[in-house]
Amino acid sequence: MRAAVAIALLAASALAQDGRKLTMAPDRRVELDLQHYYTSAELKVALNALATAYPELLRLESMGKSRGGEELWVMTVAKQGAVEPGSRPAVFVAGALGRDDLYGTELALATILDFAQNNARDAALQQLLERATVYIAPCINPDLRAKVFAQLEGSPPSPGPAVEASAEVDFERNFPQQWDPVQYASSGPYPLSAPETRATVEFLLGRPNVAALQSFGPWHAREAGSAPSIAASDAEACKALVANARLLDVDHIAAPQGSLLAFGYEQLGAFSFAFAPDWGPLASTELPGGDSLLRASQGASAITAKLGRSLARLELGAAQVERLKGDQWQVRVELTNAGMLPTLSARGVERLACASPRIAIEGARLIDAALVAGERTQALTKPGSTVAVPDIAPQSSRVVLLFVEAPAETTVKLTASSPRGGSAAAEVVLR
Amino acid sequence: MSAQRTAGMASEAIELRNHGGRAVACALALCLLPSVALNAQDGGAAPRGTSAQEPAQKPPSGDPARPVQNGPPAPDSTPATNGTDTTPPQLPAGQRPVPPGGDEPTPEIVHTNVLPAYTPAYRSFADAALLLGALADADPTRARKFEIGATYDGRRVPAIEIATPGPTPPAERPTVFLFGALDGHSLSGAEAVLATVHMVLAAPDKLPSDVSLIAVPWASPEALDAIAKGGVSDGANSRPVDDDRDGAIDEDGPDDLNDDGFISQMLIEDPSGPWVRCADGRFLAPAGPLDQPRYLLVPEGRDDDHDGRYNEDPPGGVILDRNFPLARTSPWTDPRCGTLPLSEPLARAYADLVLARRAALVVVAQGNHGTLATPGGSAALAPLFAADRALYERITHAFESATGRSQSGVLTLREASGADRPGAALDWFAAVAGALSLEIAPWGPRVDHGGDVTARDARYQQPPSSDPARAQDVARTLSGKREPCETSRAWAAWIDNVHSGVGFTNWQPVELAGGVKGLVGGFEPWTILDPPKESLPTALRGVPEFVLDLVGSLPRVELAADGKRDGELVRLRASVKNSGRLPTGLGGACAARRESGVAVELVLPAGARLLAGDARVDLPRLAGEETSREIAWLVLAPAGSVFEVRTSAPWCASVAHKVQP
Repeated sequence: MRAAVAIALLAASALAQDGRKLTMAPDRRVELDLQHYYTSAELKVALNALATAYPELLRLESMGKSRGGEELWVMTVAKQGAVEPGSRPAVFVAGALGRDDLYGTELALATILDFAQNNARDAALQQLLERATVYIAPCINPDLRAKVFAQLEGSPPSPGPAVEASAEVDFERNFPQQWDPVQYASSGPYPLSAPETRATVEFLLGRPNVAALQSFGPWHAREAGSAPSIAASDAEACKALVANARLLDVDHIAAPQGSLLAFGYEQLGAFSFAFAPDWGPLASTELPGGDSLLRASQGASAITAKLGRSLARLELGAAQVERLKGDQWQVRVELTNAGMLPTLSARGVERLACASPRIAIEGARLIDAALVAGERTQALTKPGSTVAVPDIAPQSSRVVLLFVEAPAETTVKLTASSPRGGSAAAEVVLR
Repeated sequence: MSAQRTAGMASEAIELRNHGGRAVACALALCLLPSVALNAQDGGAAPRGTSAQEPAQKPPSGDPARPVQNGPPAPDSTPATNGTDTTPPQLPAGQRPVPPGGDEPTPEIVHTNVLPAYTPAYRSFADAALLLGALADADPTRARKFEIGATYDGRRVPAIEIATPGPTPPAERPTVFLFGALDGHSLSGAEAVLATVHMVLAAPDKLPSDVSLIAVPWASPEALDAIAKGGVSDGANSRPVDDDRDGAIDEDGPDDLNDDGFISQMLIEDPSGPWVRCADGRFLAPAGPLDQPRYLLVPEGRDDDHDGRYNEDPPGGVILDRNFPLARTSPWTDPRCGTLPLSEPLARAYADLVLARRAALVVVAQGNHGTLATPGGSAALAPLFAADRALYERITHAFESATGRSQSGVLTLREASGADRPGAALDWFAAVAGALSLEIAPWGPRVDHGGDVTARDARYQQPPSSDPARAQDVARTLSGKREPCETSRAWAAWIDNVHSGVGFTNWQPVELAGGVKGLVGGFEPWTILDPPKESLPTALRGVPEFVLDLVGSLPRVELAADGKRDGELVRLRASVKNSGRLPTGLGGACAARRESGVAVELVLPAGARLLAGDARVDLPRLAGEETSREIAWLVLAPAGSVFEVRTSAPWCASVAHKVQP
């Protein structure tokens, strides 16, 4: 084991996602060994090396510190562009929350590496990273990993803050949603009592653009016949994602009470998934071997990319202009969500998790607005020069009538945006 | 368009449930939402007790000569469409607040090593902090003032720790916690804590030498200070919250529509509204299927943000006593509970402090139910605390004896308050911190009986029934109008019989934009949330004595251990007695709670070997005056060996005993 965890940044492994047909070599500015478990020190070196080598794509920051004093790293993966990463729809990936997903760190690291090395030669990946953001926190529980690795190496855990800290609270029971201290001693004295879980939640609350959460399994399947844990329309939206993949949504797994996924879906309204690699027969206390890690790494980055591509994507259709009277015009515009997920989940709508799509109008005075619903129209709220539009289902559109005032031949700029659907702009000339 | 706010808390229905689960409800607007006096002339509030220096204004509520207002309606043409919520209002900018005791100064605090006299009074945050400092300075060997946590606006919260000097550091002793007014509006609760601290310092023998006491009289300073200065607050701190999640913060607070100097409540006619007016038109009851006209109940004010809801996004904040984790409401249904459990640093500081100590007893002094309440802020939590019902019964009797009050047996938080108390600190203190946790409400409708019972002539001599189910049955008069709930009746009886009918502004019509008709009225400030100044001593009577009696009843373990040697073979035995009147811990089961039993541990000397028995034995909790079973060990040990037997329990000081057989 000692040999396995030794620093090995030289063994090359530029992963290519399954099924991609690539004609260029990967952009190997950094190479990492993906067949061993990283210590906290190694992880720090690897992440910093990546962020330094790919400044146009990666930004490394710390969400906080663990109880043992380790940094809780999070890598923001997004190509530089006109829209800030914080204003693009986003996926959040969390690794190593507890004993069951200690390998999540390596899979998350592999995902960062894959995105960095392959985006230039993979058009789909490049497009994804131009319009969406992927936040990857490879290790939420570094103290527990240190303790487990010490045990695996046969050395008794040396006393210290990291070891003591890792013994008390199960992070997957310490998040607020359905936190249950009556049933579970490991839930902690209060939700988010662990600085690691609190830092994670604070990071997420500061990013309303996070539309999907991904952690790593294994998870128990939800009992057949038990009450659905997800809104029907959200389950429908997840169907295409969970089909034929080892990706499970919170409707198919029994997410523990107090887990990150339960919090993500129930409070943030983010679609929450677990990726469960197929390790084959493996004792619950055993970590997968190096070869298995490498194989799973390929699947992990493909899954995260798939999630990113499914996020809501706003598009503005061609506008139709009609003169009403004098300088007053009606502009009919179609706002489409071209993504596989809605602009906000049904649960997110219930939780008022973030703002609905808005259309901002520049160049003309907005008089009023209405939504066309079949044969009927319905007035829309109009805060200032923007129009609030109800959330849009996947692959669906809403037709909006904008009543504006401006002289003929004026060019009016329309910008549609939503925290979890991105933005789209169009120009229309009043004639 | 300035936002205004009443001193009331968020409106919600009061529910009184019997054991069968039937409910009688009445409008909280009438029970928990007093209006706030605003000085119509100089912009200052004028609650009761206003001093002679104040310019002529609305007579103070405490003045028996003051008539109940029945003035003409004050029309308002402000636009409004449809009210739905009852978020509390607040003072307009520029209003000069006046403390509930008027401009009358609180007693001057001079720091000496002489214990200052304690006089019940409503004080400012600064005055309360000064008094706490003076109390600590009076006995520096036992008391120290310290600061805990910080409010959203940056104030450090003063606290005091009292502990008799001794070999065990205070931090390792069983600790009694007193929190005043976590709810952010019970100034009488803050005073109850100060009075108790004063009594402990005045009579050192009231605090056992092996117990520490930590008191935080002003546990929610931002809201309390606003009220103490004559302003208004629903108990929330100053954290800006977008209550209605519309992207704008604090943009729709209440307004004084009828210019009567008060922010009151407002009824808006709505065919689908949940309330109807009772036979006594002051009060509301839940509407039945055929009842008309129906009303929405909201704070007085306009729909400032034109979203069809009235005053749903006032300034502030989070109420600390809704920010604890157990049975907490979700932020999307109650923004006052905070985005996350213990999201408020101050609430978390209290939780961490209690966890850091061996919390034996936590008393939260707050509320206006006038009773002793035990944990159980929601029906779902009741089973968690059911195992200790007998204990709570004894404590309730003691409370009745000490205060001269009577209550209908053990009341959980929910029962005492007449509504769910989601996220209450008390439930967490008991369930997870494992402390004996009690809420004492100094003020309530049955606390102040007045001096002259023969003068009573009011409508409400007695509530018709103490049984909520029966009250439901008789909840309609012959005219078909509904009767108010028991709590409303009790407050009405106090106002009518004791308080000369003063304290309620009758409903007056106002006209809102769009032809919407409203009625403005309700309880006046310093009527039901906190007692009028002259009733404060009555509200505090017996409370410190009760708390200190409980402190004196805390469990104390006594260890009996001996040994008998036969060559190298030693037989040791030990037993533990709880010589206190309270048990050594709580019953019930909560997985995350600290253990509540008694641990007995044998420490072997060098060269000794345990042959039989466990080195550590965990006994179940011991009731008051109970002795444990005997524990025996068989040890192989050389002559002259000295054994140590230790025992500990969560609410007790640890004890060790050396044995040399």
